[in-house]
Amino acid sequence: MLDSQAAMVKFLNLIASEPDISRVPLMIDSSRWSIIEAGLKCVQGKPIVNSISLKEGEEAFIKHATLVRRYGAAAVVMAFDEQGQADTYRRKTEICRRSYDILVNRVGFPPEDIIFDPNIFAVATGIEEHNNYAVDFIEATAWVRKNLPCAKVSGGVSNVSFSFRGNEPVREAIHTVFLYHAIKAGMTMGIVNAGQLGVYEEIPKDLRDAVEDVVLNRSTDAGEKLVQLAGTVKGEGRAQAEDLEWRKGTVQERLTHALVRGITTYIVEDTEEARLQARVPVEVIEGPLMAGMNVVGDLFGAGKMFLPQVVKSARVMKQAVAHLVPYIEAEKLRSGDTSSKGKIVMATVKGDVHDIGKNIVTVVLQCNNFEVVNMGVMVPCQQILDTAREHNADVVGLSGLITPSLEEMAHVAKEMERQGFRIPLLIGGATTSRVHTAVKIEPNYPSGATVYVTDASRAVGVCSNLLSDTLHDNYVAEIKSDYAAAREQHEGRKSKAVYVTLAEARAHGLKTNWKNYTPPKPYLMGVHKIENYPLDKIAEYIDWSPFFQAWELSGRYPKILQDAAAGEEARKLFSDAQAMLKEIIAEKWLTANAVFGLFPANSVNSDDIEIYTDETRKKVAMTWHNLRQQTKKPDDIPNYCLADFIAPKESKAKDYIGAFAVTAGLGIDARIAEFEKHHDDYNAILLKSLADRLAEAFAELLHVRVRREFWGYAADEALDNDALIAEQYCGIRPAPGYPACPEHSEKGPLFELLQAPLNADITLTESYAMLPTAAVSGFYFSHPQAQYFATGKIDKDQVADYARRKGWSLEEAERWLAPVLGY
Amino acid sequence: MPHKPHPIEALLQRRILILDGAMGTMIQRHKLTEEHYRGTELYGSYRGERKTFAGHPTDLKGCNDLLLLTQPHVIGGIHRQYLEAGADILETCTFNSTSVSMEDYGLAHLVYELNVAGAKLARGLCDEFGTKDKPRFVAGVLGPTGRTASISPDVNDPGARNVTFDELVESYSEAVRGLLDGGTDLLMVETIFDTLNAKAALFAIEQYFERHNLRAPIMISGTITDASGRTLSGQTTEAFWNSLSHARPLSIGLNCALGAEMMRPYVEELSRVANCYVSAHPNAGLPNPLAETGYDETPEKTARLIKEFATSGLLNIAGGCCGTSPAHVKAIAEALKSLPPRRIPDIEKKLRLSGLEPFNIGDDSLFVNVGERTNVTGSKMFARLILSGDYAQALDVARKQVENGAQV
Repeated sequence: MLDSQAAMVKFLNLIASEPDISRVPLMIDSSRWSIIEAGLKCVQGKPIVNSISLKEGEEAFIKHATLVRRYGAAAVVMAFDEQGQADTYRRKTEICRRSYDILVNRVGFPPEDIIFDPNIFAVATGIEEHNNYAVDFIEATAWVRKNLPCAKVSGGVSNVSFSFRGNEPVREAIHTVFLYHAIKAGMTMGIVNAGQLGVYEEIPKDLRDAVEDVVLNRSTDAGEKLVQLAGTVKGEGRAQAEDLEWRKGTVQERLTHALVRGITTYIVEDTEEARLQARVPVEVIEGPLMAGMNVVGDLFGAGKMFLPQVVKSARVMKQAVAHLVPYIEAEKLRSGDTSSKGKIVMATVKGDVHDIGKNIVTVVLQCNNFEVVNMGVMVPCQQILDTAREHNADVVGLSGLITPSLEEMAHVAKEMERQGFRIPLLIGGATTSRVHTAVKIEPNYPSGATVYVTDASRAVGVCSNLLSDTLHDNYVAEIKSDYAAAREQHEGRKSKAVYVTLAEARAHGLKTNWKNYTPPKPYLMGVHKIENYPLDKIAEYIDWSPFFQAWELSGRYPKILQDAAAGEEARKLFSDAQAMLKEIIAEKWLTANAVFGLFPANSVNSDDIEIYTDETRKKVAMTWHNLRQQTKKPDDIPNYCLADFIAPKESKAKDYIGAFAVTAGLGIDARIAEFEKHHDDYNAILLKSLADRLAEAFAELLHVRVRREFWGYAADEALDNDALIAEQYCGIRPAPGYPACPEHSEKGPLFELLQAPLNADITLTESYAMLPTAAVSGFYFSHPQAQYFATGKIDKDQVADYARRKGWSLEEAERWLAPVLGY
Repeated sequence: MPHKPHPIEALLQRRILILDGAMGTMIQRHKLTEEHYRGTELYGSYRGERKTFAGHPTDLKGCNDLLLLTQPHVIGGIHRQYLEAGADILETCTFNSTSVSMEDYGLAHLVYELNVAGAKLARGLCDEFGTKDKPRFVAGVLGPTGRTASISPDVNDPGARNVTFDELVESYSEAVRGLLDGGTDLLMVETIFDTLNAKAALFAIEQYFERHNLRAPIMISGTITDASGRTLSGQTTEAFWNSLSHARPLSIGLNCALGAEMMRPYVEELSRVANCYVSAHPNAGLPNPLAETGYDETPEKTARLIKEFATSGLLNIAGGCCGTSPAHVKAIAEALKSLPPRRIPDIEKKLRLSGLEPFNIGDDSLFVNVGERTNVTGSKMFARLILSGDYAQALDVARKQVENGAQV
């Protein structure tokens, strides 16, 4: 007689000492509660109890469930009650519902820790009532997943084929077909012999159809038919017959078949055949073996292969690679290339177990004389970095297949930066991409090079470049600019960089005929302030698209509200925003102030604009230094500079310029503090984003009034808000720090010119950021040809010239102009 | 069970709470003698009630918890310094006050008394220092005990154990009773190096709560013992959380072992996976045998490292463990004063299992294979192996199963 309790304890204690086994969670399976409890006392992890049920009534069920919870386990709940085991769909669902309600409402058992077993019974037993058992299970599974939130479904799969004991091929086919349908219905897990599973697609069609008829109870004589068919596929005969079949294919076909089916029997033979056909041994890996693994990947992705089968495929792959390694080594010796080219630490990032691709990269790199420290899978960030340090690695390589790995990679990059790494970082794996690397990973690691590696074949080239003394710098610079371009492209822009000299750029500036043009003179000259502007008036000018962008819902307003993916969220956000906007206006949460000025002005030295105190144009109130586009343009497109839109001093034309600073953020701090005190980040951010919009709207509104009233050059302009947003008016209002005039320090003199701190309560920080943050400042241009443009990157001669004009050292200029330096 | 929020929860939403620092290394500074521990000689001056253990057969030096009875003013003095340094939460000096640990000194019969005394002492001081704006809380400490329920003490017999789950539950139950009778606010299961021990402690707590129809917030703090990022019993941080989250603790965290710098990735991980508050009370760096207390990280450095945790939004509760002093706690309190606490993230509801490693099954997870071959009713071969006592072969079956892709 077996002392089950003692055996359970002994076996579990032994397992605890075997990390290879105890790394996975345990399922403690017994029909006796006392044995389960003894088992629970030996397990440090969170196991699954199999099972508890209403078999002995509610009281025992509640007691067991409470204890399961107290021992920190999840539970399989059998569809079993005082009347017995549930066999029909109705009984199964009734008992599951009742059990669920008791567990969730009375025991406080977390629903996500409940796994129902709606009982898998044998089909095709010859008894008519049994024919629908598989269907009942599958339908009950779908019902549980739909009606009992968070609950999972499990079952003992081999029961279903019990009638075909002794006929393994048929049993395997039944299990495979059954699971194919049960998983589709939502079956979460199953007790299966992984070795007894086939691939749905690969079951011979006649057998599969017959099995499917049985499993899905599609005809009354399905069982009999399968029994007849079973006679023909009984025993090993089928396997041998098939063997002969697939062995007739090409090497590629055979390798693929072996990989998909996980058959190692002939792998060495086939790999050898492939090697003899290949130019160099590595080609076998990169070619036919990879092609086979791609098929595996596709089937797995489509849910037609299961994880254990993929593991088996990997085993076949490993054996093939193992066979090739000596040849690859020999090839290395033959080519005389034996010195290590560098050391690379490779790891599949935390949370990801996919390492086939990474292992292939490892092999290929090793074949090419790189020393590779392959850390395996699920490697935590710190461990990777520590290992890299310890081995004095030249390169770190990260791999991952699933999407969360992308985030982890970005995290590793961030940590590399934080911990002072400089060595290159390689990114690879099926879901990674050049654009993702450029946009999400590379910016996290500015101190080193981050390179996306498409596949194993590219890895060698990438590493050779990175570790070459002569090629490294160029290569890294190339990658960096390529990724910068990818980022820009990603943001819907493009950039190319061929520069002309500053003199050439100036010669190629906008040609304006100042002789035949009289700049309009403002009605209202000098500096004027506007206090406490009505917020409801400002709100009419809001451009909502940037508001949604700020909330990372990209798309134009109002289309975004109907967006298939983001529409619902956008609508919720919009209604919250409208509600808050109402409050802001009604309760005067914010104060909007502005200051603007209109002054005589002329451009000087091609790129600077002199702003004069009065019409005598003698006394300069401010000289606004501007930058000129310096990339090579086609002949008909000028190299713009904002100064081009103002009449040059030597033309003697009397031109004018406007300047402004507006805010809608006065008083915001108290409100934000209030929200933050209540940990209401959502409303705090909502308020900030609305204040920003109001400030922009205020700038728009003030610009309208300047054009129509104060400057008055467009007195009869009549544009609605959409037209304003589309900038269909005459004139522009560029702001320092934005593309047309990217250098921020010009805000200093601008604020002095307007006395903005005094007149509008807006101040500047030492890095020329405006406070309150919901503020806009800039200049007004009236010229009909005035337009927005991006200065883009500039070359060193212009930087030197700018430094001279600003009275800065070159280094100082380079620091302020860092974002636009083109060299 | 309905959950009534404890006042500490409102506080935790507003700011990072400060836990006190080391007790053991602070006691060391007093250089107490065997006579001091026995109470036969008074350390300094004290007029309150004391016990003496003149004729106790074994040496008592080093039994710090016993000072609660023989030199209470020494422990009280250290508590006082930590409260002055700004600690919001005071840990009782009951790290070893379980029968499993006290047996080593032949003092198992004192366990209840020690826990009551430890909680009372801290309670009195917390009441004295606490104000409406800055209340102080007593955390009744349940240490790991010196034995492990899931690791064999005998290299030749990996199945052997020197303590069982039931023994631990009994031992912890007594301590829990003492701490609650002495007036503790919170219960803190700390320095966990074997998760099964902690599960026993939590089991004891839950059982006690149920029998006495009460609840107190539970703090859990584990110990990552080496740079591989695992507990002594081999679990990864997330697996550790999955194993203990059923206690619905107030906080989960890490303490001792590595020091703040090396603890960071694991605190970060907890901060990401846990739907409760997160605590960290590291040692003052790695042990340095040359330093007087065995640790030599300065208050400034510890505070700077912990400040970085907080700036990164990882922390709700912070303090110190071995080697830290009131100066460390003061520096930490100062550094964290104006930093916002970590917000508890919304964690997706999943079936979160664990062995040594976590295994989470969500609604969109792929099909999970449960190995069927290590089942005495399901597999005749396995039943035969177990029956004949051939456990080595049986383990092989289990190992093959995992290698073949069984996930549970």
